[in-house]
Amino acid sequence: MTSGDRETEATVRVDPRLCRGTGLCQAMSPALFRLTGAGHAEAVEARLTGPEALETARSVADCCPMGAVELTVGPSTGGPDRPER
Amino acid sequence: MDHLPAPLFSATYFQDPYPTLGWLRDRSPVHEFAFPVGAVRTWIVTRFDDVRAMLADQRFSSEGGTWGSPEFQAAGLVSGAGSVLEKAVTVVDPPAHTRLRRLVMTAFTPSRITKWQTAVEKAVATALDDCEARGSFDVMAHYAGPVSSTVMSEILGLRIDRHEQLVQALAQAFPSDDAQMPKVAEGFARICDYAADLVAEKRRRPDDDLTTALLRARDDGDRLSEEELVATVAAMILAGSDTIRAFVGNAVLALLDHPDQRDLLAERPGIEEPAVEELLRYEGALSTALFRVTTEELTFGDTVLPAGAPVIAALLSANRDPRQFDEPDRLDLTRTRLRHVGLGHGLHNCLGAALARLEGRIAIPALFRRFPRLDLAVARHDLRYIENWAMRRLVALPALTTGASR
Repeated sequence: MTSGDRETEATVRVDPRLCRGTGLCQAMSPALFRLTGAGHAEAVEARLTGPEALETARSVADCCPMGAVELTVGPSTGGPDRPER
Repeated sequence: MDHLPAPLFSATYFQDPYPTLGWLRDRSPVHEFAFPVGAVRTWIVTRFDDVRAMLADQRFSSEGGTWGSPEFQAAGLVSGAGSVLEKAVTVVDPPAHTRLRRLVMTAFTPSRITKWQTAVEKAVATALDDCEARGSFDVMAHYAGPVSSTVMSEILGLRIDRHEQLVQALAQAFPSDDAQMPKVAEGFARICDYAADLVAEKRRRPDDDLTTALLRARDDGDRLSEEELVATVAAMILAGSDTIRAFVGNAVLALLDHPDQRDLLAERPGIEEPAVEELLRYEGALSTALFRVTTEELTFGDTVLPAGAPVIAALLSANRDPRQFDEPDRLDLTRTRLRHVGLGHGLHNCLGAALARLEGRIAIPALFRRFPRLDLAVARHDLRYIENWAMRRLVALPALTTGASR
């Protein structure tokens, strides 16, 4: 896999310990983020593909006042189906 | 009762807005009224869910100069109109907003915020010494005011001689006395001038402060233009000074009004952080968010809003909505997993939230620690609030350090 391919895939996560439910992520991109009933944010889908979704998620991560949005660029890591290295 | 307890933004309303806000939540949650300036058709949204939904909905724009109705613009209600502030991150929509906010946030790094803690602690200690020397003092003028403006000066890297002038300009921009209203625009202009001078000075002599960090802020080769830099610094001065003063004053009064919660704050370790959240909910600095205007005709709840309609999100009301909070009028520092809109919501939620929380967490408990017998120096019903529709701030909060009641 080339590095170019890698930059079209990412995992996005909202850290529940940092999130204060400011709603910035949802307002910036309701397609990628939503607020739960309790008022916390979460990613609609943990896995992102495509440069547009990645760029949006990166913007949201940079703008979150709590620094609660984590974006890990690259193919899926962690979890049970992690490929052998 | 089939009419408002007090008309919106009337003298009676400013002293006690809560009966009116409660009536609106129950009877007219998306309420049309004539804005006092220019009698412009305006709507106010008062329920928690509606406030949150509206502030997350991009059809409610912050760009009054782009989307506002002709009456709205003619009445001079576009914030920052005609000044560099019209470009500030506080009042622009995406994509310009995203770009500005990303650039500004690169200067608000965790290590920088940690460094600010020392500045806040120092400002608090100095103000406390001054208050102690006075014996009886005004929490607004001698504590909350000096703490907020000293921290702002320190963070932005303002020279000490400039600090005094800034305090005067801020007093002019956010008057406590209605008769001073004609001077407000001049106060705003002076603050823009300070911001321009500060940017020029830091360009010549870079330092370890936020202004310099903003000068250097870069994002993928992009950076802030000169005009954007000045607008950002001015917006920070405007958004970060009077709000902190107001919030600290409201929080101190809330704790004086609730002695059991005041004891809890003094006694329970680690309660500072949840306490600040509850104090932000109970009575934050802002009664409302800045104006939003509709970009198209739309139906909100049961109400049809025409295109260009000015809409006000009543943050103070949302935070006291019994649909969202149990016993909302009771201060309870032990509330858990509290989500409030005291620092706004959505795209334009408070950019300096981390600093606001830091100042609150340090300044509020410190006052009660230094003066365990702190008490009001006047009768409770003699306290007055400024007559401002967006800011909830006490004119003065006279206090005694030697209260007999405790």
